[in-house]
Parts: sequence; structure tokens; C-alpha cells
Amino acid sequence: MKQNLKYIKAMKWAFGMLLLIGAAPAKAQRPGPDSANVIGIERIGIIDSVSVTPLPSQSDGLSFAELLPGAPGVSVTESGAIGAAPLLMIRGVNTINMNASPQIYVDGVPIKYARQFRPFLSQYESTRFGFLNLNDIKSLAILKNADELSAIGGRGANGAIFLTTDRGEFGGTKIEFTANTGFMRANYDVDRMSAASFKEYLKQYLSENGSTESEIANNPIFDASLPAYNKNTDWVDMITRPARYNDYHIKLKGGFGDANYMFSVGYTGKQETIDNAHFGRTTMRFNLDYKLSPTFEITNNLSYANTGSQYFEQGNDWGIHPLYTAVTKAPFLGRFAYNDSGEETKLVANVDALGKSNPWALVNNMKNSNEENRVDGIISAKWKARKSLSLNSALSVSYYNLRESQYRPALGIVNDEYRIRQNANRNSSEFTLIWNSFLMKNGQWGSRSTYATQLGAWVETFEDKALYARKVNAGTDDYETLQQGVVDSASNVKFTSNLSRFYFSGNVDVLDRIYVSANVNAEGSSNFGQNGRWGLYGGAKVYLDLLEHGNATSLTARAGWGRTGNNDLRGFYHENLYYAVNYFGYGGVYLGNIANEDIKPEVTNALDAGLRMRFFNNRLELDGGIYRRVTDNLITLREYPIELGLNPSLENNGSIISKGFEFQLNAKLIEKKQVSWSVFANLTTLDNEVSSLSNGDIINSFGNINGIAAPSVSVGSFYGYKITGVFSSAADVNLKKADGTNYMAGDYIIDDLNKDGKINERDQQVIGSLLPKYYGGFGSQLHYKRLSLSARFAYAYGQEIYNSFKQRLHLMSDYSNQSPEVANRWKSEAAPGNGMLSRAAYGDPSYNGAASSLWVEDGSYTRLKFLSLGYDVPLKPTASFIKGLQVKITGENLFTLTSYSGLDAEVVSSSSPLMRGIDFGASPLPKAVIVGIKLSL
Amino acid sequence: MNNDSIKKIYQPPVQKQNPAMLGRFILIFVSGCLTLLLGGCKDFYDVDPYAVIKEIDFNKNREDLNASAFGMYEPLTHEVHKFLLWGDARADMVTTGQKEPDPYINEFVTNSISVENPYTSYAGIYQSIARCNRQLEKVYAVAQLDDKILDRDAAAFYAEALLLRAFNHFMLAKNFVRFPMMFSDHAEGIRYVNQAGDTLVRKVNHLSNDDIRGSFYYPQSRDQAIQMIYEDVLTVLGILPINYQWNRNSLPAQERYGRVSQAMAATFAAELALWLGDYQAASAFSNSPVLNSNHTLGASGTWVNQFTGSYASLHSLFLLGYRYPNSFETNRLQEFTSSVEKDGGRYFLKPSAWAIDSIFSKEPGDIRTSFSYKVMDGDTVIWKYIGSDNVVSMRPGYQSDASWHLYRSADAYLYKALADLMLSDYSTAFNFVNMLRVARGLEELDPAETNYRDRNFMLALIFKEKARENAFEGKRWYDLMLWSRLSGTNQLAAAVAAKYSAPRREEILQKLQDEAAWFIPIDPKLWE
Repeated sequence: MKQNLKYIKAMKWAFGMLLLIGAAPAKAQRPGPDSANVIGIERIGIIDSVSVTPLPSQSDGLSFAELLPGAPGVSVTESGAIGAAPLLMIRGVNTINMNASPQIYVDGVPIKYARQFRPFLSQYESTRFGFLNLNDIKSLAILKNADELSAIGGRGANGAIFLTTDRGEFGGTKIEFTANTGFMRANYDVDRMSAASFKEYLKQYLSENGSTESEIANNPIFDASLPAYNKNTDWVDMITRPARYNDYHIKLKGGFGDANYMFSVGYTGKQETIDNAHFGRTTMRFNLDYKLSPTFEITNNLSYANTGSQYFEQGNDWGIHPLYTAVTKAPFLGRFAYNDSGEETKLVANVDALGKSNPWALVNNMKNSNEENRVDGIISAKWKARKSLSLNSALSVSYYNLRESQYRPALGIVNDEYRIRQNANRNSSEFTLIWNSFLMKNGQWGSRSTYATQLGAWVETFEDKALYARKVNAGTDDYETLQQGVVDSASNVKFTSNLSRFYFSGNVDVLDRIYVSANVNAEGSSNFGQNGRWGLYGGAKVYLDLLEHGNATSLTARAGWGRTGNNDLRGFYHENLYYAVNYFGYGGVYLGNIANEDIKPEVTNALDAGLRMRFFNNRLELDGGIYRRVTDNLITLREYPIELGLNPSLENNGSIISKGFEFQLNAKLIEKKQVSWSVFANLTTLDNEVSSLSNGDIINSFGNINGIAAPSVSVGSFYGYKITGVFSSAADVNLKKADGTNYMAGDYIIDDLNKDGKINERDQQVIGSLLPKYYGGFGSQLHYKRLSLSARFAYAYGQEIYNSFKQRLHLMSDYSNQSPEVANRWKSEAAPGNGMLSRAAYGDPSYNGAASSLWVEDGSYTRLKFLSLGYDVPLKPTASFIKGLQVKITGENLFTLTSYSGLDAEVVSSSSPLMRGIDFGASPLPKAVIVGIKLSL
Repeated sequence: MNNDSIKKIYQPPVQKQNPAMLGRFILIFVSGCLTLLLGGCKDFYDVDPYAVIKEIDFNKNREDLNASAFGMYEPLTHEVHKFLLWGDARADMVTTGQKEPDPYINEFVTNSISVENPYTSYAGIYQSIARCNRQLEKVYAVAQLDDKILDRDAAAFYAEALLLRAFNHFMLAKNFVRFPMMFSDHAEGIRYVNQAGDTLVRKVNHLSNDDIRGSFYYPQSRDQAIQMIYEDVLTVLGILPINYQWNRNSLPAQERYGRVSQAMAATFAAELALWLGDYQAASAFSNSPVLNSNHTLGASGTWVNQFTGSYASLHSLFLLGYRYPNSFETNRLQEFTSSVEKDGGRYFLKPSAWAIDSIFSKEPGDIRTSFSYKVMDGDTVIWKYIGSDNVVSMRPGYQSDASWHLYRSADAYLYKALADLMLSDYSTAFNFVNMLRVARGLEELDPAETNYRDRNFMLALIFKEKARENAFEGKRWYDLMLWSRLSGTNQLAAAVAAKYSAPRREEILQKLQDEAAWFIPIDPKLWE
């Protein structure tokens, strides 16, 4: 709070200075040649224009988020898993337990970026924006400034992105046909032992774990005469492939007289570089603008999309992780089973003697699939009561259905505890209905001052439902549905949230030189009880031209403040709630939530200020600014003394701060008729810490890896043990396990933080930070006659990655193939190895596999995300029906600069703020080459 | 000025305006919005949850009370592996199975329990207590709302909650260095005395955890706690009907054994009376379950059914039950005791060599010797929770649904024997021991060859019989405590020390001479 006051004082001072400077002679701003408005953004209560984010014109992306790497103001982390949602972050993480993703609006309809229900697999979070064909996107704006976010009320704590779809334009019908095809190849080089060296290692491993020489000699695995154990299989090669991408899209646009329309149909198909993982999408969209009379206009949006995808485990469920299984399965085994006579059959081999699934079975027989259907419809009417006054009213309806299925047969796949086979289905749907109406009024004061105002009301109802069932142990692998087996778990959930908001926005341009804008809105949400239901949000900003307009040089100062929040609380925590449990086969009930009548949304106070300079008639533009967000009333779990026997309850307690500096440069180095060349660069720094958590540190775990939120620690830092070496001999062992027994020679030496000679949870410490310290992009665009060449790089520095995949390849706790580096392990006091790798102990009795500093790596990278070459084909005037033909070739992810040793420095493990940055060996982003044409008729 | 970011969307057309008309227009719009806001807004914001029940919709009828009653037992079903650690791993009959033991498990086996040990958390017991208190708070209010709940029914539900709470308090009293006793529902409010001496009631979420802890009642002594528990149980005995049928139809096996009953209350009262030295009462209370035809000592042929098949076969008085086939309820006993890794066994605990040599009967025919433990692939394992018959068949992997027995008829017989022994009724004591022996497949002891009038000899005999009967059921430690009370000498230290080899044996013998060392240290703040 003290910091807030200090900031407010600083802002007051800054405002004063701005006013003083503003007294100097200057002229007001005018739109520049490269400005672009985001059509329709007034629907969410923003009546100032916002910057449009330039997007690459060709990519293999499935969602808009894949177009954003390198764009200013947003951190994007992508995954190579097909259809996975990239991780987006705008000015840091501003919550811990709530939804931490930016809010997305498509044509004014709010859509949550992150999925609600946990996926069937351990970590795969599919994108919810596959329904939006990238060819239909007209503009994309990143909302990050304080006043912009205050205008959207309790949804702006983590920034927002406003997308609009294409619309018709006056003129005859134009047809655009776009076709792209491409290939993708990923690097799956993982160091592992060959068949011969793994066999040798296995012998040593068994010996080090107590097997006698005769037991080893009698183990059929080592029998050179058995062909079943003497193959040489490249399992990784067996399950990976070069992948394909295809995208076809037809768009009809036009308008005549009083009606403009846009109709499009598209299909996109994309494969992953793991066999059989793929994504397909069919979309249709019809946008119509109709002018019924000079004062009355109607616009309609209608769209339908169907997507289907197939994907695999890429998290910490190691038994069914195709890549992990392929890397760690014995290369001396083969894909097919052997009969009792020792002859190879054509039947798929079952789980092997070392306990590993058959990777081929995992990618060919196990199925994880999603099918989505989405329909969106918007009808809006605009009545121009007068030239300066209009009433707008819109009704939007969205329905989204997701059907997730999992089929896990027995053959070749390890059992999941008692589940030999399993089939799971979840059918979830979302329904959103919004009525939004607003008045707009603008006018002029005198000859040099103008104003615009907006007054609106928004009523929204949202409902999601999910029906889930899993059946296990069907009689055979033939049943891929819920038809057979025993019900293992089932659930039926529904959540309804109603929201209304009343908003007012206004701006005034005084004397063509000072521009002031403000907004205020009151928002009521059914997610909270009477005491916390209503949130009041608002913000303001001021812009000031410091130099006289019309000069080749301009200098603009800006400052803004806004109060936004996070209302995405899913539950009814203001009520006493009774939960269901079972006892002895009977249904029981208990009081699970003690009402907190005062629970309310998290509140974010944001400040920003900056300076924009333009030189040489706008050919060089520099923009620098600072930002700071303080989120208070964090919704955290309050644990009661355990003697009360009550579940923890949610309460508003704690705050988190993100702050940093943003910088942008745009330069048009050459600007001639035949040749133009421009470059851009942007940088965002991030300092994101919890400032207070009265209910104590929050630790979330994924696998055995912890992320922590604690005061003065970067949000989501990895929390584990710090390893300083390996005990080389029993005499060196000076630490005890928690029970007081000694560690053994060959165990890792752990930093005994509290110096009590015992290693337990109290010795855990921060071992790495998953948030980047700075990130951004840079690039260039060159046009020469009909050729164009553009490049865009993205970078992120300072973030660390927990390389869990690498840890597994050095763990030596079972019969997995390992990294050749394990030859340097501790084997005996006489052969202590290189002092950096523990002993090989089956079952890991000393917890050498606990999360530790040994596997935290620098994850910084710079990557060439897009490199595009385009050519406008000259057309003979005789072929007049073809208005244009453009040929393009784009390379993605062609070049990466990083010291990270894993498959990819871009790691997406979870959207939860405390479980990000863990590398479980997900598919790396492939290098892609896309060729395509765009034909205009 | 930057035109990208601040240009207004609506360029202002200049036009004269009629302020009155504009005002009316805005007034109509704002009025419309306010009407929407105020009219019907209560329903708009008052959304009902779907998968959970709001307070206003619950505790209306008998079914709600019955469901809440099941909710009271449920937290305990997740704790039985801890009960095994608390009651057996510390004692003489159990040791670690793993070559390199799990540190926290081993702390119990080695009697060096640290407060950091997560298995010391008694949170599950207090959850059960909280739900009992909630039920006590609600029973009579619900009875007012539902005509089907007769006084007798309300008394039964009330007594059930009171009895289970008492049982939970006794678990705490037998195990922990320090523990508060909770006698009221804190979900709605906590009653406390402020610095000015005023008694206030405030909502739990308006108080700090320190203030909440400050309101706890800690008994002045362990005996005082047991006395208070005893009084609760005596109340129960006064109001809980015998063989009460909770569902008014036939009494299903799950209810007969999985919920507390009059017979259980009497056995519990007998045990408490023994602890408190009221042997006359203990003897009298033991008669009730002994005479109850719903519960019998059973025969050796059906004894294993308690763990393998039909829950109890009349043997049991009270158990924590699981139904795997239709609700996937399991416990961690298979994980703790099985050496079969593919079944999820971690082999944390196994019988100690000392127990096999000294406790179990080597006489032929004792079903308990052949079913309590077995040697499997060279590993000695506790068989009770993983075996599905008396020979070699095992419970399937990950289907650990063996019942956890808290009181059986045999307990009542042995409490009767102990009480009568302490009352110097030696022959009755001797007869009750023989009844149990015969029921388990052993020969009766010959009075002519048994020094049954020697109290200390008989105490040792009865507690050995109890150790066989209740082997690996989390009772041995408390039996050793009771034996010490009854005999007036520390029996626990020597018995527990016997399972260690020198020099640890001497260290433990020394350590456990101090009765304060018999209890588990806990730092409850660590488990919040």
C-alpha cells in the first residue's frame, strides 16, 4: 500500500509537469498515415482507438496466438503438441489461484482463453480458439494499458486481446482463394544408449542392485541366442515423422448499395511430428452489414466451426508418454511379439519384461481425441438518432461443445493401477448470451475541442456443463466406447454465472493538444455474494503533445491509471456448501465450505506512463514507457487450525506486483517507390513478485516439481532441493534422511538449509525462476518491386526451465534406457564417477529423484519465428478475371539461439502460474516450410 | 501525438443539438438500464449451485441426517494406514519391510518420531469430530422439520454422533502428547472470552488462527480427558437404542458393522472403564455385547471372513468399511503391507521376527497364526489385508478394501476377562479366555496346569491372546499402555524394546521408561 501511495504521488507530480509543459505552444494530433482503428471495440466500452498488432501474413498456426510471437507487449510460449494452447502473458502474472490468461474478445464476445476442465492426459491444454480461421481475422489488438483494462471491468487483470473478423466492403464481389501447404520436421535427437551399451548397463545395474552373477547370466534378456532380445530398434524414429500442413480458404467479400457481406469457408489440416497426432478444422462465417434506412443499420455475424484432433501424452504420465517410452525402451527389443518357438509374429508386442509400453501401440492404438463444435451469432442494430448521437444494441449467442474421448487398450500399454483398459468420455458445453446496449454521443466545444461519450449496459449469462464417465476393464481391446466395462468414475457438473455491467466512457480533446479520456463501470456478478457482488472499476489517461504538430519531429507524453480486476471465481463460496462423499458404498454429505459472505473479485490497480518520439517525418519512431500493476485482494485459501476439522475456505488476502519497462522502435530505413525497408524491435522487462500473502506461501506441484508463490520471490519459482554433489564414500556421509538414518554413499548431497543435519521439506528453497526477465521481438520488412521479404524474431531471456525429461534420463530408478552420461554415475567408493550423478538404485529409496537444482537450466532463447518471401505475380491485362496472384513461402522456427539442452526452449507445461516451465519432453516446435498462393478474383 | 493509440473512433460531426430532446433520450436509456438492474436482479444474481448443496436446501429430513451420518465416518476411512503406524508400527509386532526404509515410516518403527513427520497429522480425526459436532447441532432442528423422525430416531442420530466423537477423542487421548477436545460445532461461530472477560461468538472466518487456537479446550490431564469421553459414552448408552435400524428396513451388513451401535458403545465403555480403573462397570458393560445375538465370538472357520468377504460375519462390532466393486473405495493397507510391486505394494511394514517367535501360537489349529502373516517369495508379510483366503490367494492389485476393525466381539470377551481378573474373579476371567481360544481353533487351557489365580500371569496371558486376536490391527501399543495401567508397572517399554537388537534395544528401553515418550509429538501448524 505504501508503494501505491508513493506511485500515486509520483503520478500527480508527472501530471503537473505535463500540464506545465502543455502550456507551451503546440498543435493537436491528427491521425497518421499508418494508423488503424479496431472496428467495434466500442462494444466493450473502449471508445479510444488502440494499436493494431501487425500479424504475419502466412503461418502454420491453428489459433491467433500462434501469430503473436515477437509482437510488442505479449509473451508467447508455444508447444509442438498439436492443437495445444500457447501460453500468453501480457505484463506479467497478476493472480495465483484464478485464471491467469488474458481475456479474449472475438467481435466483442468474451471467450476465456484457458480451458476449464482438466484434460484426461496429465498436461495437455488444447486451444479453445481453433474455431477461428486465421484467414478470417481482420484485426487484432493487445489491450494492456491501464485505462483500456479498466474499461472492461473485472476481466482485465491479465490483459486482453480484441479480435475482429473480416467484413464486406462496398464494391463488387471479390473472391479470395488462399491455399497453403507445408512440411514440418522436428528435432528429436535425444542422447540415449545403443542396444549393446544399454545391455551392458543393465547388467551392471542389476549387479549394483543386488542381483547375483548367476541371476544375471540366467536372465533371458542377456541370452545372445534369443532373437527377441537382440534387435536394434530405433523407437524414436518409429513414432516420429515429417508432418504436413494444408490450409484452403475461400472468401467472398463485397457490397452494393446498402448491404455489405463477407462469406468464407475454410479447411485446415495439420499433423504433429509424432505419428497419428493431427488437427483438422472446417469453418464457415457469414458477416452481413445492412443499412435499412439512413438512420438504422443492422449487422449480423454468423459462424460455425468444427474441429477434430488426436493427441498424446506429453506430460508426467511416463508410462504412456510416447516419446519418453521410445527413448527409454530397450533398443534390443522389437515392435512385434515372439511366439513360444522364438519366432517373430506380426502381432504387436505387449508390455516388455522391463515394464515398458510398446511405443508403436501408444501412437497407433491408444486414442485421445477432441471434437469441437462452435456456433456464434450476433445481431446488432444501430440507430442514429442524430448525427452525433446513436443508440447501439447487440444480442450475441454462443454455443460451444467439446467432446473428449480416451481409449486406452491393454495390448502393449502398461496398466494404470487396476485399470487394464479404459474408455473415458466427457461432453462439455458452454453457452453465452449477452445483451449489450449503449448510447454514443460526440460533439465539439468551440472550434478546437471535441469530445465523445458512451453510456452502456451489458447483461450476460454464461453456463457450462460437463458430463463425464470412465469405464474400465472391458473384456477386450475391441470396445473403443463406453459400451463395455465397469464404471470407474462419472460426474455431472454445471456452472452458471450471470453478470451485468453499466459503463460510461468519455474523452475530450482540448485545444487540439491535450487528450484526456476516462471510464467508469459498475459490475455485478453472481459469482459473489451480496457483500462482494458489485465491483467499481474505472480509469483515466492523458496524452500531451510536447512539440508543435507539423514538425518533422513529434514528442508525446502519456500517463494512465486504471482499476480492473479478476471476477472469474467459479463457485458459490459466499454460501455454506455441502459436498458429497461415499462411505461404505453409501452416499454421505458434509459441510465442505464455510460461507465467506465478503468474498469479492481480485482488484488490480494499474499505472503506466511513457513517451513517444517520432523523427524524420515519422520514419523513426521510439516509444518507451513504464508499467506497474498491483493486484490486491488475491483470492487465496485460508487454512483453519486443523483441530476445527473444516475445509480451507477462500478469502481475499494478499497482493502481487508486476512492473517493468516497455520499449518499441520502428524505423523506415528506405522508403522509395520501388524499394522500401523497415525494421522494428520491441522489448518488455518483467519484475513480478508477490508482495504479501497473509495465508502463507502457496505451493503447487506438478509431478514432484513444486512452484511457489511467496513474498519477494518471482511468481511461480521452482521450489526444491539444492544439490551440491554426491557422497563419494560412506565416510563422507554427514547428512541424515528425515528418519535419522544416514544417506548412503552415492546419494546426492543436499544443501542442509536449516543446518539440522537432516534433510526434509524444511530444506527446500527457491531453485529457479520460470518467468522471463525480458522478452520481445525484432524484425525487418523489405519490399523490392514485386518481391517482399519479411523476418520476425522472438526472444525471451532470464527464464529457467525445470528439465524433468532430462532428470528422468539420469534417474536410474528402474530399467529405463538412460543418457550415456550415466556411465559417470557413482558405482562404488572405488568408482565414484564424476561426482555429479548419484548411484543407480532401483525404486530410488533415497529420493535422489526429488526436484532439485541439478535439473534447472537457463531457458533463454532467440528464435527466428517467421521468414517470409512473397511475390506478386504480374498478370496480363487480358486475364482480367484474375485481379491478383501472390505466391509466398514462409519458414517458421528455422533458427534458434539457445543454450538449453532439452528438445525445445519453449516449454508449456500448464497455464497455472505456479506450474509453468516444466519440460516433460513435449514435442518440440518443428521447423516448418509453408508455400502458398493467394488468388484474387 | 500518436495517432495509432489515441485517435477517436468517432470524428465529431458538428451539428446543433436540441438539449431537451437529448436529455429525454438519455433519460429513457438510463431508466431502462436501472429498471433492468433493479427489477428481478435478485434472481439474476442468486444462482443455485449444481453439484453441491446450499445450506438453505439441506438438513430438512431424515435422509439428510442419514447422509450427514455417513459423512462423519468418511474422514476416518482415509486414515487407517496411520492407525496402523500409530498403533502397531511403534509397537513390538511390526517392523519395516523395505531394504532401505521410507524415512517417515521408519520413524514410527524406530520410535523416533519427529514433528515433521506427515503421518503424525491428526487432521482426519478432527474432520470426523467436526462433522459429529455439526450433526449434534442439527439433529433436533431437523427433527422438528420432518414428522417421520420420531424422538427415538432423533435420539439415535444424536447418540451416534456423540459416540463417534467420543471414539475420536479417545484416539487422540491414546496417541498424542497434546490435543484439544472439541465439544461444539465451529462452522457457524466460535465462542471465546475476550481480554475484557466478555464471552463473544464470532464467525470462524472473522477470527485469526491464533485467536481460534486460543479458544480451544485442552484437558488438564489425560485421565480427565478419558473421564469426559467416558461420560459421553455413558450418555450414549442411555439414549442409543439396541440394534437400532437406521433405515427401518432390514439392517444391512454395512450398517450393522460400519456404524456405531449400542453393542459398540458398551464395549467402548468397558474399555474406558478399564482405563479409569472402574472394573465393576467394565465387567458390567462387557456383558452387553457378549449377550447380544447380533454379534458373536464366531468360529475359526469364519474368522477370516472379516477381512476377505462378508465384512464381519457377526464377529465385528464396529469397523471402517470399503466397497470396491461399486464405489472404488480403498485404503492404503495393501500399499503398506504388500511386497508385490505390481499390485501397488510398497512393503513399508512387515511382522517383526520377535512377534512371530513370541506372540503367535505355535499350537496347531490357531486360525490367527495362519492368516495374520505369511511368508511369500522369501518375504514375511502381513497377510490380513492382502490375502483373500487362508491359503495363497491374494486380493487383486490396487483393490485394497479390507475392513479396518475397531471393535470386535473378541474385544468384549477379553475386556470382560480383564475386568473380572481385576475384580479377582479369576475363574470367570479364565473361562472367557478359554472361550476365545476355542473359537479360534485352540484347545482350552487346563485350569489344573494354569496359574489362573496369578493376576500378573493372567494379564500377560490375556494380552498375548489379544495380540494374536488383534495382530496388525493398530491396537498393540494401546494394549501395552492398558497392560501397564492394570499391572501398575511399565510393560510397554520392555515389550517394544524386545523387537530391536542391541544396542538399540537398551536405548528404547530407557526412552520408553518415561511415559511421556509414549505419545506422538505433533505440530498441528505444519499440517494446516
